[in-house]
Amino acid sequence: MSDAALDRTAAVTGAADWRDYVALMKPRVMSLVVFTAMTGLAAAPASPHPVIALTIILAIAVGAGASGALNMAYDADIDAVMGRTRMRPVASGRVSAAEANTLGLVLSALSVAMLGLATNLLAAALLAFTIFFYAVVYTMWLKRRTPQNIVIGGLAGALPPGIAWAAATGGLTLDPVLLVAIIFIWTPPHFWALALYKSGDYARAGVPMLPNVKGPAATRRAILIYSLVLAPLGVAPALTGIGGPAYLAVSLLGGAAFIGLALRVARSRAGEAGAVGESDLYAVRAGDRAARDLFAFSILYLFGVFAVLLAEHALPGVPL
Amino acid sequence: MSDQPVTLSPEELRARNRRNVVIAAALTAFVVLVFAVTIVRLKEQVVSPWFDTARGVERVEGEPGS
Repeated sequence: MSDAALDRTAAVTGAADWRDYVALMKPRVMSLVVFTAMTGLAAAPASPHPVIALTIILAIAVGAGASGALNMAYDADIDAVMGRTRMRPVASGRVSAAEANTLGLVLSALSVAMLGLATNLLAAALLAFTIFFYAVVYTMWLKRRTPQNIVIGGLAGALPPGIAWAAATGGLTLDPVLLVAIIFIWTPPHFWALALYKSGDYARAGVPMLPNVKGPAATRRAILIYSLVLAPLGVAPALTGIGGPAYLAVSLLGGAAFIGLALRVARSRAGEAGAVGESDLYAVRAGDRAARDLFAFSILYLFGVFAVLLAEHALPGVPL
Repeated sequence: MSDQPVTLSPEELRARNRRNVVIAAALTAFVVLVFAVTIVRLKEQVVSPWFDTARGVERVEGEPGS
């Protein structure tokens, strides 16, 4: 950890606002986790009591927030040098790393215990594994060492629908594994598309993202390969029966568009010219536009397939 | 640790008060949630001597299980 980070760790943080502690829990990531967990819960062949269902979603959301706080405590030094993350509470010195660690550990214990007491041990163990995987395996071991960091680390973000399914049913079948696999395979092309036009940010922080280590051409090829796997995988829930006709249509069209945009990235020179516009998530130079478009569409794709699945199971009158 | 008393600025004091209110609200919500989960789990698992939870009717004297 750098001296600057140590100074921040020792900072007196009397002026920290409660919103800083909410920001520690990465609310944007939490909202995606809540959404995919709700889909897993709705698709599961069991209907827990509404109070239990609320507890399942809350425990998974708090568990995700806890891993976010632990991640920010450990990564304060690299967050401080990246434009996208330098205003995070620990990186900017508003909250100390010790406070973030304490919040993360307390919330981890509470969320796992709550899920275990309200549902079953399998769900609690999966949530504990997810927090450990994100905070230790991804943040401490992989992120600064290998360009495969987000490939392996993506498992933590992929597990919530599986945890919700296990909490509702007490077990796991092929269907929740498919939902987890979709997010797992979606994560690398999503982040690599971002890394292609934000590679300067990651390089400055010394984070070995694929474009910095293997180069933009290898990254564009990897994006295409993952997209070719993701498109048929996205259709699979319609074949096992948890996805209905609307899901089939959205996953087919979305998968085709995903491959089309990945092909455009593969043919482009995205990432070649170096990144600009680091202050804005979507700001790019002309050569990187294909990567920016794929990044934006990847969010829409994941939201689309999970929203349709959720609607088919949660809304009355939607054919399944 | 310094022996000097810590003097908070008015802004830091306001921030601390706001944090305390949010912590109190979160703790209250947690207690309510634990209570609600306990009631639901008890309802699911406790067999009442007067009420057949599986059939949703009162037990009748002489019937099996009464």
